[in-house]
Amino acid sequence: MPTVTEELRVTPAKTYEGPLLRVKDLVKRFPITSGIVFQRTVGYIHAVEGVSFELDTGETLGLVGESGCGKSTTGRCILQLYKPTSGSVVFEGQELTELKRSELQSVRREMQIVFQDPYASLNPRMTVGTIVGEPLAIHSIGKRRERKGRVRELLDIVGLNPNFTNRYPHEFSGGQRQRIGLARALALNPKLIICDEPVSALDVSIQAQMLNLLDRLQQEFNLAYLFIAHDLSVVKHISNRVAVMYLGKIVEIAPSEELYQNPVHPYTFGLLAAIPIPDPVLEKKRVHKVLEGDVPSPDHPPTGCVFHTRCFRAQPICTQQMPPMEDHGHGHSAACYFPLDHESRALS
Amino acid sequence: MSASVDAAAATPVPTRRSRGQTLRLYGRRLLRQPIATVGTVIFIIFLLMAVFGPWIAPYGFEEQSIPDRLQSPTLQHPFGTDNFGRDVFSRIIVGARGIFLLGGTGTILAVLMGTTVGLVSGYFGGLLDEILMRLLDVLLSIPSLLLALVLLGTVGPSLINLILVVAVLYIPMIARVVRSMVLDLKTKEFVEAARIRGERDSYVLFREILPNALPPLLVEASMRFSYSIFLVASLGFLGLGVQPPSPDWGLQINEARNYLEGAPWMLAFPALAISMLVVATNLMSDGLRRVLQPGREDS
Repeated sequence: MPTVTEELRVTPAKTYEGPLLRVKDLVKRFPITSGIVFQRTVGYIHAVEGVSFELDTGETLGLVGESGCGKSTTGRCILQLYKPTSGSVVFEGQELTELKRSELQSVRREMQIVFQDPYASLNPRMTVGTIVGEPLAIHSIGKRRERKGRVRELLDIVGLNPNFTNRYPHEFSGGQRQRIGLARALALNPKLIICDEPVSALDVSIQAQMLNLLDRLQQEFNLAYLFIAHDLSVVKHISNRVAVMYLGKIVEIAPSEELYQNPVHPYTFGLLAAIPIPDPVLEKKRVHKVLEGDVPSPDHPPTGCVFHTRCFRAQPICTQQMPPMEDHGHGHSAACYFPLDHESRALS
Repeated sequence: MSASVDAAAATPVPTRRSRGQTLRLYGRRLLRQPIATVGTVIFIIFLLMAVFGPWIAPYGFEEQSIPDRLQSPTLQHPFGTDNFGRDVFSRIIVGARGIFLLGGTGTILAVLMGTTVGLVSGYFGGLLDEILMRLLDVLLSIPSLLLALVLLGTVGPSLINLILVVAVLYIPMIARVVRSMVLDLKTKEFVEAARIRGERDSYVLFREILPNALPPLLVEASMRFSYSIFLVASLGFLGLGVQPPSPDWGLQINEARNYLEGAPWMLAFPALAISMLVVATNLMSDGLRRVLQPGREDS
């Protein structure tokens, strides 16, 4: 079966050294307008406020945060679906924010997305074959017959029956639909896949299958994942590094194990404390340090550290200035004036 | 439906659903609704009358016979004769063509233009959307019969003008239905997926969005058609429709007014034809909604 693939696979023209993706000071604000014909901007939703990170080939970076913190917006800004307000997105050494629409086309092959909602992400009026094959068609890869073979191969790769090409999305379950979405993302042999909460709409048993599939595909095709989720326990399984976002900012970023063992930022600590332990005895004994209150509105983010309104360690200085990212060793950095250490973690 | 999905997935060789099978499925869904089926059958009968009218009609629609004028219904003339001795039955059969031609063409034109306006307005949004929608609001704010009279009074009642007036009158409704569908669909993730892989706007509009807006559009179109029958008949009655001696149901009703006491059949049968076609079309479009948008019966 893999005969077709080799011909259709896109070989990189140049060898590029350095991280696959480098996001620097990314900002995205959505204007809030008022008025009907003559619209004026009365404010901004600060969706993403200065996000920076790097992602290497074959690496998975988990991006975690509560809903509305700008995780998905970050992903869509990287894909140039939204035009960032400012900041830079460098993919394979190429600055994407300055590219014209026609110039973007070649980059689009290299990065794809898997969506959260398995129902809204597939066009109900298209057959599975069309859905998975359209990316090949728009980038005019292969002849029609070759594309058909490739579609069957892709369905096989994601663990679906290759004979399903003539079926419509409504004939599949949520998990199967996510696999179709994944096949569509894989069609162009991308280097980067942005996984926008790909398992949060699935049953727990199906979640594990999907995560294992993503894991296998990553090794097979040397994919880089930006894995967006609101649940730290899901991210732990799959990520090499994890970044925690709060109100448009990354507050802590660290290698996966390190983050789970030694959370430095009070917000990360709160999130980790909220993960239920699947052992009723231990779970009962544990004292819950709950994050109190709600996320402040992103149209008026708090001054100073964005988290100070909910932080149990907040001091006057936190309300005045956003703490800078500080290195805590082992690739671990966090933005907090009063980072947690072993003792304070034990006390709280 | 979800229960069958997993079972279907387990079977190694899936059944294919071709276009023909989809149509057959729609057919079965329609037959499950007896009232809509009756409506559809009546509609088809009228449609056949419109197409084959002159060949079906027992008499020529202009065939006058003064000795036989104002006869009550008999076996010879099942719907009686009018003041010129013309066969009312034949004139109704032949008149169906005018109704379908004016209402049908007008509605199709309205669907084409309304869909274009709705797609553009909903998809691109912004100032263009604002301007288009306010223009349509102006059209909507004038009662439709009044607007038709004003327009026809200005340009004169020719066949083309009648069709255009029907189209102009129904563009706003069609455009609004399409626009609201587009507003909903354009935020869907499959549309984002198309944009991410670099599809053009025209592809997104016609391949991703329009096919999903089609069911409500078809339902709206059939509703508009039933309204247009009424409109064309009203215009005919007011003398702004098809001109005599061409057969036209509205015109026939108008001519019958003077003979109401002596020959009520002259008025009754064209009126019956109009109401039957309107009701049948409504029933059909109701059924169409249930067939094309199952699960949304109550909407």
